[in-house]
Amino acid sequence: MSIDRFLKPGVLILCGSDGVGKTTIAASLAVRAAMREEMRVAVLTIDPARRLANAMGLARLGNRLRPVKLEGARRAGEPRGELVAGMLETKSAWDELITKQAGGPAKAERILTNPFYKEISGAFVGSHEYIAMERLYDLEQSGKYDLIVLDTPPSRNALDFLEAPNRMTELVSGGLLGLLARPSMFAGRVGLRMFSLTAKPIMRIADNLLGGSTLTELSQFLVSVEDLYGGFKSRAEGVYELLGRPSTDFLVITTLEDVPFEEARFFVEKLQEAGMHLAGAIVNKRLPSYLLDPAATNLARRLVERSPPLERALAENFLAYRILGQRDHDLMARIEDLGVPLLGSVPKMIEPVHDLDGLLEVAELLVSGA
Amino acid sequence: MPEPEDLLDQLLGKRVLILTGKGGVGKSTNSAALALIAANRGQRVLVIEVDAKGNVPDFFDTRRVGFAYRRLHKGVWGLSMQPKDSMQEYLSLMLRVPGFSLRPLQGFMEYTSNAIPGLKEILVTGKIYYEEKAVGEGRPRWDLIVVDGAPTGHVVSQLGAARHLAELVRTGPIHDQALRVADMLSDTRRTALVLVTIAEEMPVNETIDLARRLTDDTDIVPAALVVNQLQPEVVAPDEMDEFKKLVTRDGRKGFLARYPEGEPLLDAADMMLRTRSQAEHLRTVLRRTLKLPTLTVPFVFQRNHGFAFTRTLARALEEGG
Repeated sequence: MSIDRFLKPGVLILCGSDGVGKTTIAASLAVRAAMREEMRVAVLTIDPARRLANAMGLARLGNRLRPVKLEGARRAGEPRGELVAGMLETKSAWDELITKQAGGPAKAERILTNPFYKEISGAFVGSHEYIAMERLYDLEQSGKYDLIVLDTPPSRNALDFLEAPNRMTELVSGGLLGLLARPSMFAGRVGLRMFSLTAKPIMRIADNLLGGSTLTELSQFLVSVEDLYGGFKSRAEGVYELLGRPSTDFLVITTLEDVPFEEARFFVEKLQEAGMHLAGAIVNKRLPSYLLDPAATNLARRLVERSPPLERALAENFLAYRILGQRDHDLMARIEDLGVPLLGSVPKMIEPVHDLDGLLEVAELLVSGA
Repeated sequence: MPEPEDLLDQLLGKRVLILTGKGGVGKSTNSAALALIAANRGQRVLVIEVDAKGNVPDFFDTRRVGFAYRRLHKGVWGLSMQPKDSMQEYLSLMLRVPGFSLRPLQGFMEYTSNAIPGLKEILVTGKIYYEEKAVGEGRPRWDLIVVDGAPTGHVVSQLGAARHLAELVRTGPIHDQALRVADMLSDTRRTALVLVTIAEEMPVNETIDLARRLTDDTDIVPAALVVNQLQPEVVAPDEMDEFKKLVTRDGRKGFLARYPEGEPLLDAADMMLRTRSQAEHLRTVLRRTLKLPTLTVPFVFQRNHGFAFTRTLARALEEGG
């Protein structure tokens, strides 16, 4: 089963441990799709991958999607589709979202300048994951693209991005706000009442700990974003609907190292639990099979025993790499443990990809090395 | 710039070492190795895993740890941050909230910590501060605390949180405690932030980016850089040119004439040499942009990452590459 099957209208989301090469593979697949099919393709990356931007002929990737000049590729002839590329910048994406959703410039301004907001948009754990989903939803809703390729933020809590929209809704919704203040239905929004701070002893202690005005300021912030709640909620639902669609495919990327491999298994499990459509797995940075060549191994073992220094060094180096080759081989033998079909593999590239042809080559290796 | 040996001594002379780096570059293995070196020198060392799922104990061939510290090896203890436990400890020990109000308050604070940025992060740095101050038998409980820290993406907000929180919450015990934590983190005599990377493009870029964000957003200055997984020296430096000739077209011919089955050896050498030259280039970039004292660690060609691996890595770190 070739990866090409999944280069079709819809959404393609790449998951995997940090450092397995998600961004490069995302860019490669997007370029291949746009070269071969009459599709408008968008690729959105998470890493500030300057070299990849350069490889696609862009000075840098930013929040705004920019067209990639596919004519620069010599490899695949005339491009049939179009490609745009962008990167997720958490802070500016948040500002954009608030400006759009706040319901008026004055309201937006009030949120954007609030000290809590400033901290939240930059540092809030999960804000990155949330905004990635938000951007994906936005792109899809715009109807401008046939295929959207997205790599996911590196995070130890593998599938934060799946949970982020719900968590955000929870945060903005009733819970905390209700606990702190009643942006009252009776008194109008201006009349924020700190209803219980002095009434409940717990709140008194909390207020004390947090230093006087903090809780008041926090509630003011929550009141100011309360208007966004409806928007957040419906968009979160939209995101889940989009993620669960049959035309949305997830790819799990791994290298043949223990930690990323285990994490890939975890991804598969969680995605399946969440009912997402898993296209399959891709193995990246595979070591060459000559490292396990029996005749060469015998030769190397002989040469380390008794030979001039250079030949011994050659043999020692081979045997050292052979250990890694063996690890590769062992994990490859366990690839079924992942529980999803293997769609292809890419050999380890020593020199980084630096142009469109390089990206196309990665994609071709992926297709041919299945 | 200090020699590697002095640099290691300097680092182990601090109270707190915090390691950060892109995922997969060897933060945890280097944390374990540094802890082992310090312990072998007679120090009492605590390893704090910021990630609740941390695997530092694996590198001592022992089972995973929780929030209560446990011995991992002679001279090395370990604990891992667990959100619930750490909130409780933060409230009761650090803010001295009386026991009877602990439980309801904890629920409230857990909820609030979703909205007050920095509150969750300070549970981590607050714990480091608490252990740094901890006393046992009339002396500090730990000679050295090694923190297997957050990856590059989160470490700035985590380390910067104390200062931000102190600004956001302007009075009261949380404010005071946050200030003390922030002061410890930026005190270069007590604390050293160590950036770990490998000589590959993405991790190097991320490390440079991280250094820039630390300067922009925090008052924490990284103390050292660890470049991990460098290709080891297979021949003496003066033999390198001869070795390189082996993989040229003529060199190959000669070798293959003697050993027809020897092509994979030449290919593996070629792979190593190309990896090396990439790494050389990236190390130059790192040197020029970061200007940080650097420890280099050779690639350890070992299959399993248990204690044997940690010991080899520790030895390599001590030799300074």
